[in-house]
Amino acid sequence: MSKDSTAYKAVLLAILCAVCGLLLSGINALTAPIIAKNQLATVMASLEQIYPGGEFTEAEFDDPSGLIQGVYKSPGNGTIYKIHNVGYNSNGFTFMVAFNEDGSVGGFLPIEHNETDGFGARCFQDDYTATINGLTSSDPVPLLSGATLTSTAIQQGIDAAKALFNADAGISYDPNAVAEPSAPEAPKISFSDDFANTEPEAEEVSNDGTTAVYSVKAGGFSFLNEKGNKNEAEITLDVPSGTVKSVKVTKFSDTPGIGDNATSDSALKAYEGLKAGDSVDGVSGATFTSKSIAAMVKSALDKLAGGGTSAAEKPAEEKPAEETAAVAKYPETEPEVEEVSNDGTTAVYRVKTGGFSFLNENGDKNEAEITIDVPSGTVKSITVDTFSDTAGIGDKATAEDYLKKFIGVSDPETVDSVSGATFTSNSVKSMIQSVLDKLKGLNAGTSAAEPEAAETTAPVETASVSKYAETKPEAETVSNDGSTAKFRTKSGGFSFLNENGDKNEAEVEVDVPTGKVKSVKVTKFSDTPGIGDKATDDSWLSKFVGVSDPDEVDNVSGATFTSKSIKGMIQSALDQVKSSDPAAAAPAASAPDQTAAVPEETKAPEASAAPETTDKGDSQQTVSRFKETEPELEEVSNDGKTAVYRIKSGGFSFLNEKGEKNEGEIEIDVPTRTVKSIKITKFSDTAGIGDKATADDFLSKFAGKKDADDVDGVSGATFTSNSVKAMIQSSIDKTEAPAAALPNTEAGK
Amino acid sequence: MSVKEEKKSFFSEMLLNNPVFGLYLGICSTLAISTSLNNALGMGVSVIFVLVLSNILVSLIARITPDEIHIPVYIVIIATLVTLVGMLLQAYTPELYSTLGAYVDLIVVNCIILGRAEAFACKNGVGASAKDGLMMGLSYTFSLMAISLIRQILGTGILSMSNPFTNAEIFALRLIPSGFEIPIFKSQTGAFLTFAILAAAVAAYKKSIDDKAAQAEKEAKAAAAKAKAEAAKAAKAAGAAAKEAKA
Repeated sequence: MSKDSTAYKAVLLAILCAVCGLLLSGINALTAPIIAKNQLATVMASLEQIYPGGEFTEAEFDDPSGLIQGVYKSPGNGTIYKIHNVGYNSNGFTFMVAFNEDGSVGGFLPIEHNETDGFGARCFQDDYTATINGLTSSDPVPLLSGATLTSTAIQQGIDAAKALFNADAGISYDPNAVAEPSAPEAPKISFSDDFANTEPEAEEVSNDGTTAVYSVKAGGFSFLNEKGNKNEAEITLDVPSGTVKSVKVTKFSDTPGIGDNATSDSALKAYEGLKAGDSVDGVSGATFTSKSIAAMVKSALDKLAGGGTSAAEKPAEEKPAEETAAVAKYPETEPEVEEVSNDGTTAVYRVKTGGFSFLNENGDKNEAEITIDVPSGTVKSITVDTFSDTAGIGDKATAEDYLKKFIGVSDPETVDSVSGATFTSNSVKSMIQSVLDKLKGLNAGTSAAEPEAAETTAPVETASVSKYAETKPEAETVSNDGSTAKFRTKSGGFSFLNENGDKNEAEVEVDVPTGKVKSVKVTKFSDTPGIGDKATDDSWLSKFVGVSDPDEVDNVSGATFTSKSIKGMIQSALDQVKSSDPAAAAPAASAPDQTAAVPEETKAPEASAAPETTDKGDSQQTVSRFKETEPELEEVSNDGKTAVYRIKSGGFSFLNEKGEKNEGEIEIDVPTRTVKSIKITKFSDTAGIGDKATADDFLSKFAGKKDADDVDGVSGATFTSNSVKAMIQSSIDKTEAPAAALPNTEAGK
Repeated sequence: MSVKEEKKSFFSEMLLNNPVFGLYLGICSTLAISTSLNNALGMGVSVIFVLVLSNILVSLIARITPDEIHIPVYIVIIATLVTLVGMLLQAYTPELYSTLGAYVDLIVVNCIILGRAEAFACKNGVGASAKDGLMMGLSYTFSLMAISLIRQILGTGILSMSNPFTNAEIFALRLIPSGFEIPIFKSQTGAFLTFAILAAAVAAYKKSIDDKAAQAEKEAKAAAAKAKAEAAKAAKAAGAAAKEAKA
């Protein structure tokens, strides 16, 4: 055979290939089992995790889905499927699922994955793993919300394994069954948890021994994650049982649509009846807000537990006659008094009492210097020089304009506490009381008569500037020659109340003897130009001249806030005149109310439902005060004893946004013309703001009242408060007619 | 040739006739797997094994192989050897096999192997071919190790080796504190950079040797010319002396 012939070449190549083939098959025979063992060894560790100590053999399989990478049978245990699928991460992930011989899932084990932490990776964490482990080969695989892509890929993989396993084991099942979407576990929150990171703050608003109301704050998602604001709530507790009566979220700062799931009525209802140490189901998906609310409730409960005894004693303490009202009212503040000087007319005392810081956190006491007019036993001045309570909260009660209210007062209890700063208010009152007590101890005889006079000034105090409390008016005397007093005043308007802006400022002149306004000049205007400045127009300001109650002048429509701000300034100036001249205070105090009512009466013929205002003076207060709310009244029934009215009255929505009126149903006790009950049937103002004034605890304050203004409006919900008051006042006013008619009909008989 | 000279020629052979740096052969696998010393050694040993055996086999059957079918014949031989190596690696050094991956199979088309079979083995005897295969394999391994040494140290900061059979670590040395590694050296970019720099250094060395050789040749020439001239001078002088003596 020639070396160049084709046959030779072919034979040579054939022989070569045959030899090589033989050689390779020999080597393959040698190495194949070792290679197989090696490959098994790499998955063995994983397999061992599912069936510890089991024997494993790799099985042949035919997987139409292409997701299954390996099938390992473990005799006596079950079958393990190694699955690779792509979820969120494009590289996919590998996991194993095992079915026991009885068909139940024997294990679910991630081998390798790069899914996102907190999302896809949750599919490989305990909760979801436990879910999978609880399935059988005929159950559908549930998806995991928030990890849809990953859990879908897992579902596909397990479905493929199920198909193989069930075909193998002869189990029939419905491959198209869909799992009920498993609701994610609601977080379990216990009041014994540590909520320190939410930085809860609680302040007692009221506590009458049976029901305590707390204003609380605690950080939620926004606060903890985005340095945002805390959530705020009002929590009502049942004092004797120490349980939660109601939770109302007043300020919600977390993500709308997510966190607010935890502030829904039904979610908040879950807290009712709970007590310290209980736990509550949080709202899934709103864990942070749930915790925030739990923290708030807890802080209120803690507060009740901490201050419980003293709080419970308080109502009992209040019963003793005002006369003997001693410092014993505030024993928990542990007042310490030291006389600095006393020349028989003026006494100066240094006094320390505990406030919030002292009572709740074992902190320091507040300190003040108090000057007392000895003959009258009234306060001349108070200067708080060491303030130890929460800045921004308690210091409302040490602000000058609050302290001024005590001037001329002989019983501190006649001055309302500052809402939200009850502890510090009490601390201040305690200081005054302890000083007054000390003084009384010195000249016991003379002081007895004085409180009476003080009592008369007190209501004026609360009735006047407190009407504009939310505008935080400040007045500073520029000059006072006894006939004319000039004040530099500040008061918040739209900008201040809504945008944390500056206050408006004005110069107010008051005629001291008559207590009437001489002139008003706006010196600084901080509200919206073109809108609010309607209320700084001279033609409007001139209406106040000769007026002793700014409410006699109607607000400028469209500039309500600035109007209020100006009225607040005027009122604060008038108050200054009154307080600086206590002698004039008494006549001035009653005068404005009278004059306030009388001219309006004449101006307002629509209030003539009861023109014969022949009864007592208090009935002079009519609905005309609220006429901008345009109350519409409909009598439902009146049996001579109880009258029921259905009534509509505009609040914020109606007055400012041309929205709808609020509606309510009011029961009036006809003979006494007092409120029996109020029910708001339609609320049209801003939820979360205005509805503070439709809350039951606010409405219940009107029970037994014959003048709607006897109840202070809810700060921050002035419009709705006024709307509610308008409803009540117009109902009370209306009640007169049948009441008057009743004797007539009887006479007719 | 003394032992010293032989040693010198071995290294200069390694460098100057280096298939990677000198001839730029087999760069594909060189760049791809030169990330760690382990890979370099594993690949190097595999290539040496295939190269030596293929050279021997090719030189053995060279005489009975017609020219027209020598490429298919060589390819069959090389492919068989590579598959064999692949199976052995997979069986006994699974870890190394998984890191080398496809590059083990790609030895089949490694230019060095086919190149040496074509250029050397088919024309030389079995002994010489085996020696050539070993030399070339060592050169390849040497280049691979040089690149991977630099890449591993700069890229991971650690110089380490482990037993490919048991996967047990032999040594691990942190040379660069963690955080100061240059991860680009782990990537292909780093491979190209390292390769280019080393190849340039080898080329420079080669040039300096060539220059030296040229210089030496020149000097030798000059010396010869001088000697010739001197000899002529001496002859002339001798002739003059003889003349004088005659006179």
